[in-house]
Amino acid sequence: MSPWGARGRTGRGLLALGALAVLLGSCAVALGVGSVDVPVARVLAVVARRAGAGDLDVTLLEDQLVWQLRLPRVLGAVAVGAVLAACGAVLQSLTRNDLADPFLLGVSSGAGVGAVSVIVLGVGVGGLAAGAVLPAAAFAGALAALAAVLLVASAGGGALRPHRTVLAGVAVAHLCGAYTSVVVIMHGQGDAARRVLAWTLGSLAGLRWGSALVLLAAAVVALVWFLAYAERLDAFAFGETSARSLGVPVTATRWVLMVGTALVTATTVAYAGAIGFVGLVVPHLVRPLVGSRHRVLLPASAVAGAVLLVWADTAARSLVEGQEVPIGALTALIGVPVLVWLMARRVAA
Amino acid sequence: MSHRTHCVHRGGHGDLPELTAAGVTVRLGDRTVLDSVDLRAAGGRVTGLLGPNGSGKTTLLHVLAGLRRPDAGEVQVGGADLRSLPDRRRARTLALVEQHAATTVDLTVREVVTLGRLPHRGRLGGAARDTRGAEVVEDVLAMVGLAPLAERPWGTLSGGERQRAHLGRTLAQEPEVLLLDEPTNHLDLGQQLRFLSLVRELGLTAVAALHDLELAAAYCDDVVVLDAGRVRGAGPVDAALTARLLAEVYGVEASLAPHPRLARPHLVWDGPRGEGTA
Repeated sequence: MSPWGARGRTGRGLLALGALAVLLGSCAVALGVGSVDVPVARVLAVVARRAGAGDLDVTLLEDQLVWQLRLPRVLGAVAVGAVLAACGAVLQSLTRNDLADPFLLGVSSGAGVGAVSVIVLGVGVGGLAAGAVLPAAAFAGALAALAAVLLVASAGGGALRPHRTVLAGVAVAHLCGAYTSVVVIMHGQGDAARRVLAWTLGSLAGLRWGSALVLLAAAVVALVWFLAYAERLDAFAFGETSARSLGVPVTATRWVLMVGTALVTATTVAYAGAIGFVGLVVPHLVRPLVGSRHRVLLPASAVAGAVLLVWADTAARSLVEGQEVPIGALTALIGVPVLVWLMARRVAA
Repeated sequence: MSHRTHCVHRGGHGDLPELTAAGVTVRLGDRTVLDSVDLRAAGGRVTGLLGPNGSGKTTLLHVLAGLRRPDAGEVQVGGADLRSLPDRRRARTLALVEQHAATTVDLTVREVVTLGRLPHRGRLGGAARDTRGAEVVEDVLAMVGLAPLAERPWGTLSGGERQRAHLGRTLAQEPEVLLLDEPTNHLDLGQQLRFLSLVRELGLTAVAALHDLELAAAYCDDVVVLDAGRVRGAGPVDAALTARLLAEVYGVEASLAPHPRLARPHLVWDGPRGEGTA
């Protein structure tokens, strides 16, 4: 039983309202914080004016800061946090592994290969618009790694058994890591190593409206898609045999959800790098509050992941003046203690 | 039992389907786990699946449940080939209580039982089509004696309570055929007897893999005895479990005798088979 008593219909409704209020409040605060602070009231005025609420008195600087620079970034944080946390919840249930995270199928290391090829070797930089090359290369690398993992994991059967899939993911990740290290060490010049490391730890600094909208669309599609599988995911609680005896097509479900989570995760990695720990930790934090049924767990994880990333990104761009703290480092700072607490609790149980 | 009221639309007791396996063969690499196994579980009767460890009981149950495709042979339920049933339809016809189905997910008892409604819901999981769902779950909770524990998380349940919750989950599927894989393992004697009494009272077509011959003698109508993947004996309990079969399959000096007070056989054993008596 949840200590919060949030399993009843009313309790869940209140929790949902509260969670959305926290999310919107976090966004409003985040939009005001930065190199120049904008009071929440002015933030709301900017947003209201842009939304067509009339000719409110807003300065050009305020509009520039809040609407052009910060809002895409905050919306991106919401989308990326929601995607990573929901994917983590899906994969932890699907593989029955508490340590599963959205990068299980090698997409982050594969994206790293693409990113390093652009950052260090300058592949493709001459061609396309420079801003589009890095995400495209990272996404392509993620897809290639995913394909490799699926190929290895499904060799001899295609059942995509979790144990085998996790091993294949680890193997491909190490291969990609080897390539990345060799390229950085052998060919890295100037601050290449620092830029690769910064990319690896993730950042939402580069997000503009275009990329933010892509990420939001990916988040909406992912959530609707995963929610359609909520009850089938519930059936995995007692393992594959039990799921199948309940009429769940286990192999098909695994393929759809593993490929689906990998694709949306790859989209986030392409724009924001591999932001760790959100997908791993948030579902574990949310389960004690809302229980383990996916119809509630998935949206709750998404909202919690969004809130976490909005605050982490706000800290990333405002903790040190004139410099970005890597957001992956901040999520790890929050994530590691939670993971330790979780392990201690598991051992005690 | 109120469960029967849910099955009224399927007709009365006598209409429960029989489950038959014909020539079922399963190979794992070089090893033949099941070798041309025939089995007939009569409608509404409890059939015990007996045999020493490693004789193929679990594999056969998985084949009977439609979870494993045999290399040869076929399974029919109510005269229909199991392979022709779509997944969800199959899950509404046959349900399996697994051996050691454990979880680290902290579902409540009610949530575990509700899992059994999955094959009755819409393909995308909508509850709208399952109008009787909540009512069936309540009835099942009462039937397996877990209504007072409905909100308890899985981690706090005893072994017997977990096994009853598993049975509840399968009953929520409203199956016609119940398959049980050593369901009384790790239960104390009282829990074993109560669990099997409950299974008998359900009156479904049931196949139960059992370790304990005495429990089989007490609670099964018929038995099928497996040894090394082959059927060594089958039929009504007292006719099938001969002293010779028990000696050959289990290596024990034992036989069935009339129960001193009840109208059923019970097992009397002398000890392991002596070295020279083969």
